[in-house]
This record gives sequence, C-alpha cells and structure tokens, in this order.
Amino acid sequence: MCREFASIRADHLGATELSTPQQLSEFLAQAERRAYKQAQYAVRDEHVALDIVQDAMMKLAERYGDHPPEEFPMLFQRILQNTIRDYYRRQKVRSFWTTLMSSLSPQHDAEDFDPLDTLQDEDNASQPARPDAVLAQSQLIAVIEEALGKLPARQREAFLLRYWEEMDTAETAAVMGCSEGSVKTHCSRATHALSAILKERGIDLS
Amino acid sequence: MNIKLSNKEIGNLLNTAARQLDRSTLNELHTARQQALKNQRVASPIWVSQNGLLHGQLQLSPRALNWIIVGVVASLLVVNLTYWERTYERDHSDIDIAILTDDLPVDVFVD
Repeated sequence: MCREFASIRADHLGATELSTPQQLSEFLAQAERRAYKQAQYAVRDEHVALDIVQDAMMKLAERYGDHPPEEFPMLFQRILQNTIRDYYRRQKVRSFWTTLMSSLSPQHDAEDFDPLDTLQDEDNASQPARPDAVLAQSQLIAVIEEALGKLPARQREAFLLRYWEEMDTAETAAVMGCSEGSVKTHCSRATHALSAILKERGIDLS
Repeated sequence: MNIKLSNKEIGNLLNTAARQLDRSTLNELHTARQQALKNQRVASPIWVSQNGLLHGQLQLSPRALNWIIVGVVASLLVVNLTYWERTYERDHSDIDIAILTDDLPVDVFVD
C-alpha cells in the first residue's frame, strides 16, 4: 500500500517536487554572498546590507520554504530587490524628517567634523604585502564596484541581474516587475554609463 | 591602467569580490541563514490513494478558505429558499383543495 502511495505521489507531483530544508540551505549558502554584495552596491552600508539579506532570507524561508527548489532563485531575487526598494522608501521618509528637524535646530556639524576621523589607512605598512596580480585585481574590482555604485538604482539592478545573476530578459523583467522592453532599456543605459565611467579610469567595456 | 573588459568578465570579477568577503560578514551571513532555516515553512505530505481520496493534513490558504465559507453559506441559502418555496406552495394547494371540496373551516369566514 505504501509503495502504491509513494509511486502515485511521485507521479502526481512530477516536476514540482517540494523542497527539503537541506535544499533551501544549499541554495541560501550559494546565493548569500552575491545577495550581500548586491545589497551593498545598492545601499552602500555593510550593516544595512546584512539586514536586508537577513530579511530576504527570512521571508523566503517563511513564505516560500515549501516551494520547489528550482523556484528559489527567482523568488529570492524578487524578495531581495523588493526589500532594497522598501529600504529606499523608508530612507526617503526618514531623510525628509531629518532635514525638517535639522533645519529647525542650530548647526554645529561643520565645527565638529574632523577629516582624520574618516581617513582610511590604506597605505599602512604593517599590512601584509600582497602579490601584484592580486593587488591589481582588487583595484580593478574596486573601480568596477565604484562605477556600479554611481549607476541609478534601476539600471544597476537590471545590469546585475542580467550579467551577474545571468538571468534572461524575461526573468529579469519578472524580478524587477517591469516589461522586457524596460529591462533592455535599463541594461543598455547601464552598459553605456558604465562604459563612460570606466573609460575615464582606462578600462574599455566591450 | 588600460584594460578591456566584457560584461561577462565584470560578472566574473564581481564573483571574485563576493568570494573575498571578510570572516565576520561570512559569520553573520551564516547566522542569518540558520535563523531563516529555523523558520522554514514545511509542506505537510498529502497522500493520494487508489480510490482518489485525500489523506493527511491539507493546508489551505486564507483565500481558499474564504471561498469555501462563501460556497457553504450560498448552498445553505439555496436549500432554505427551496424549502420555503415548497412549503408555501403546499399551503396554497391545501387551501385550494379545501375550497374545491367545500371543506373550509369556519375560521376562514370569520374575517
């Protein structure tokens, strides 16, 4: 009887086999780093980026944890991008109130600011020396990340989904909640903008 | 720096950057993942036997539950209306028979 049940269940479910905790764990383990970097490019704050990724992971597990594993990449990307957008919205409201309140209170910030507080110690001789290739690569990555940070949010989102997450136009459109035509426009503009920014730094984008 | 890059190579470099995250960030990501896994929604198995009956716990979404409630209320309403209509018709036919057989009670003529 049990064998019958098992075979019928297998036939019944077919391609939409439900996920196990192990499958979700594996998916999150391979997606979390890129998700964190995506959030970091978007919000430019490590702690906020971590919060966003944590939030996205939690939502995926709580709401869609029983979905087939092949649905995880699309669902996770959609949740991640929505969480980033929610952060932008909250930030907009917060900055409105902050601006309003600061315009009412006396200004002392300029006197308190000390450039040494925020100066990066990049030339510290006590750091271990790194091979030239690794250094060149990390410099190149820094230039690219800086250029990505300068892109408008939607263009960066489209570019990263298409060329980093390797999604096709239809998948990217589904994640971004827009038409395929919009995705193509965003990608094209992002590539042109990146190309212009990188060219100033001696990098040709082909 | 004079370098030529394609979009694909940029993707590869970003992958490299993602692999070079510092230990504390990785630890925090690991903790976040474990936390999420603790709250994972797990589906209850639904077994289908040979006669097509469902066994096991069937989980319904709130929307489906609402539709079921609406369906039950609508069917109860239909049953009640049908019953009331039939009773009304039967009362009328009883009076008709009484008139035809000249068997009306005195109370009918009082008003």
